[in-house]
Amino acid sequence: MTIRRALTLLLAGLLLQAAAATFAQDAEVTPVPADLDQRSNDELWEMACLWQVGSNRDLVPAAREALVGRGPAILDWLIPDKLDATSSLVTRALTEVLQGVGAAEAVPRLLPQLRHENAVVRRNAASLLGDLDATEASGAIASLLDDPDARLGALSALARLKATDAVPAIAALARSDAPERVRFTAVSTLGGIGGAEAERVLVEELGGSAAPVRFAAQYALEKLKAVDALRAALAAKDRRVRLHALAALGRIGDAAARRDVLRFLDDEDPIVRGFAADALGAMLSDPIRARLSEGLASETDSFARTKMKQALER
Amino acid sequence: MRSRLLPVLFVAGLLGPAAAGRAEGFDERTLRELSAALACVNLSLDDLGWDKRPLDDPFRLAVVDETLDRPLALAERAERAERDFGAGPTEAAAAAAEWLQAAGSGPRLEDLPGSEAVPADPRERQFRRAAPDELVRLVDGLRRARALVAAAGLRCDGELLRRDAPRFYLDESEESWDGKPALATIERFVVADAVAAFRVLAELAEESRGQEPPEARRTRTWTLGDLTVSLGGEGDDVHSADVVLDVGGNDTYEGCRVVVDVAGDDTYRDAGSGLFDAGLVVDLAGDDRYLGTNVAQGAAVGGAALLVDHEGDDRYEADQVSQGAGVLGVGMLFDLAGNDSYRGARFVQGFGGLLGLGVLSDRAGADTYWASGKYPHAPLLPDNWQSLSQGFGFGLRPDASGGVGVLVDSAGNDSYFAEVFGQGASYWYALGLLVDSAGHDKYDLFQYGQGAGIHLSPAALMDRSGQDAYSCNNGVAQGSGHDWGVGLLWDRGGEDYYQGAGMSQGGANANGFGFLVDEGGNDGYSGTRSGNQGGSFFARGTFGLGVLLDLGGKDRYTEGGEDGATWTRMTVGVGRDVAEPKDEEARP
Repeated sequence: MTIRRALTLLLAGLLLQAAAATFAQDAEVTPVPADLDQRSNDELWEMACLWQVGSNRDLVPAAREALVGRGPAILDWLIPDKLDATSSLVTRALTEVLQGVGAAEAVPRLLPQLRHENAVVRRNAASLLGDLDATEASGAIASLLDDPDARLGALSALARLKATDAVPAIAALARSDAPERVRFTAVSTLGGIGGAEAERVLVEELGGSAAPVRFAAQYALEKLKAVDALRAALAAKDRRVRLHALAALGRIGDAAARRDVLRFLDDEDPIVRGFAADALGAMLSDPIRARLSEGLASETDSFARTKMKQALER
Repeated sequence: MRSRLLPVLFVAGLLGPAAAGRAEGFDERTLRELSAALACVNLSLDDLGWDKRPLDDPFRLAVVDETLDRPLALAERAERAERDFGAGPTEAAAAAAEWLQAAGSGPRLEDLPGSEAVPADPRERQFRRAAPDELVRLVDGLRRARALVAAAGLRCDGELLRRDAPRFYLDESEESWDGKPALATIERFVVADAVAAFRVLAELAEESRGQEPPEARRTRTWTLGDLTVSLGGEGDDVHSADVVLDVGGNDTYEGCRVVVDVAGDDTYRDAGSGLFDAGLVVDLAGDDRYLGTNVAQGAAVGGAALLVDHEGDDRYEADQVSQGAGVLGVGMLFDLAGNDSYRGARFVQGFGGLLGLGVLSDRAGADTYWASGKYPHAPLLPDNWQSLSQGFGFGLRPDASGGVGVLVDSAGNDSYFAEVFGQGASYWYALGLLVDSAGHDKYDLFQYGQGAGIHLSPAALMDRSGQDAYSCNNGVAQGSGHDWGVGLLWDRGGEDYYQGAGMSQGGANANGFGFLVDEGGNDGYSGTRSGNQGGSFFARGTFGLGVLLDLGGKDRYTEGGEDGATWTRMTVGVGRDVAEPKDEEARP
């Protein structure tokens, strides 16, 4: 435990970090040791699990590459011992090394770990099987959805594997009283898998009580370009569901939804009018421009006016 | 002498709206406008309580959970910090237990050793006959505080506690070590006892300011068992005794435990330290210098420490965990007058670590706060220094929540400088608050701060008035919540200028919530890169909410906002600029 370690347990891949890394481009870079191939597994693994930013940007990939170079034997050194890790820096290193060695060698070693007594190992094994596109493992991974300590790893994998057979179980998890994190992850997973059943559940979840779940459902429907499901959702009694559907249709921008969206431009609620204008801005046509101009001329609400103006400026 | 100690500075609630009877936190108009802004992104005030604490550990403070669960409570906490810590040590000591949720479990003070039972040792009896009452009181107070500090760690593995607890924040090596055994024993640390020890110190400080100094023509020293005690005269003395009462001269103090210095321009080395101990400095007059390394100047690790400087333009210099810092206990620094300079490297100027409350409260003057210059933030920003200071709370990811760090500056045109992490910020289930009550202030930062909650953590910066300038080279900053974090920048008035760059001025990602509320004045909002002025982006499988709310004045925005408009941006970001209220809507 060091202060630096506590501070560098940051998950990689965020835009923020990419932006921050730009400040570090001129920083002194830690050189890659010339004798990397002679280093012990422990030494290489420590380097491979560093944060690949700033001064570490060359060292980390070189260490991972050196581990891959040790071939299938390195898998027996990593699995299962190194799967007992909660740091995303470690799981990222695992993913890259296992992918580098290859699924054919890694998958048979990971499958038994889905039944490991340690939940962290089970969760990471599931997630790694997803990273390795191990579709043959989807049934075994789905069985972890009932495992409170490993189901987040299972959800992540099932999305990557597009495991349609698992949709009912994932939908049940989304509707359950599980923690919000589990529920919105289940919803995102449905978005990763897709299909009519997944879309139906996602529309239901637009009316959920927790904001992260509702927005996860909206983004999932956007990702699926579920235009028909969203058009149907515009008829929902729940205003929040209608607004989520309008927002999603606007982000998809499919002209097929123009007519459905257009009628909300006359809604008595200015927020709804603003959402409709925003969506119409992504599916403009001459008649739509004319309707927006007409609406803008009589609009008194500042939010709706702003959205109409912005739509017309696109 | 008494005339120097005007109690007017101690008037409780002088600044806080609570004194006027209004509830703490946002007023009705702000809540109404915030609600209107949220409606534009399909949210309501009730939605803000979404789950932001998926993990738990035995070290979590209630105030952290409260502000993650109810982000608007950050405004209440900022005002409450101003009231609790902006008055004086007595009020602060009374409030400390609640901030650390440690009330009620400590021993009764009257059960502890004190002056009631005069020890049989003849040297002790001689001391009590010869020494002024004020000095006897200090000795008794130190004994009581030490007994409480000892009680706090009584159920812990003492050797492990003393060896490893400081390492969490002071270890400068890059050696890996296993902190879990230390955390296991720290679970048995009774922080309420450390709070009670701090209360003893605050009582001593309060009594010291109200008494006439004793007659002391020459310096005298007593040895009482393992305790040395000195009464300093009018000349320039060099003191190293455990307990010192000095009536005058420009004195030098070397590592003393309890000091009351009545007059002179003095130099203190490593004073006001509570490293598994109790430490107190009360300096009643003069332009003083405080020099320290680690755990100094109102800083505690496993104990309690208080520094109160009543007058003069003072200089404070330290390295880490100093200048109002608390880890496993309470450390506070009160400077009541003068233009002061605070300089440190990291974990300074209102810092709260594991089970700790650290407060720096400066009541007057144009002050300079500087935290930087020694510890690079490698590997991410190897060319920039870590600060982790100026109202900063810091947990030990991923094993243990952090504490509460508070910086309250009550008056004057102040300047704040930090680099990476600081100025009303927190990291990993901790709380950081910076409250500046008056003056035209400058806030300068490189990254992560100015009302920023980072990784499952809440934080706020509240500036009550003045023409303020906020500058940060990089997000997360100026009312931002990163990765399940909650951040608030609340500027209550004046013509302000905000300069940010990416996830700033009401920004969020990954289940976080960031909001900037500016209540009035003609303000300027400037930004480079995306994510400024009410923006958020989807990350780690979930949304974030960024809100910029400007409630008055003629304002300028670089990202498309304008007076009287409401705009939405990115994933779930909203900005709302409200025109000045009409007379009938004007706030009381």
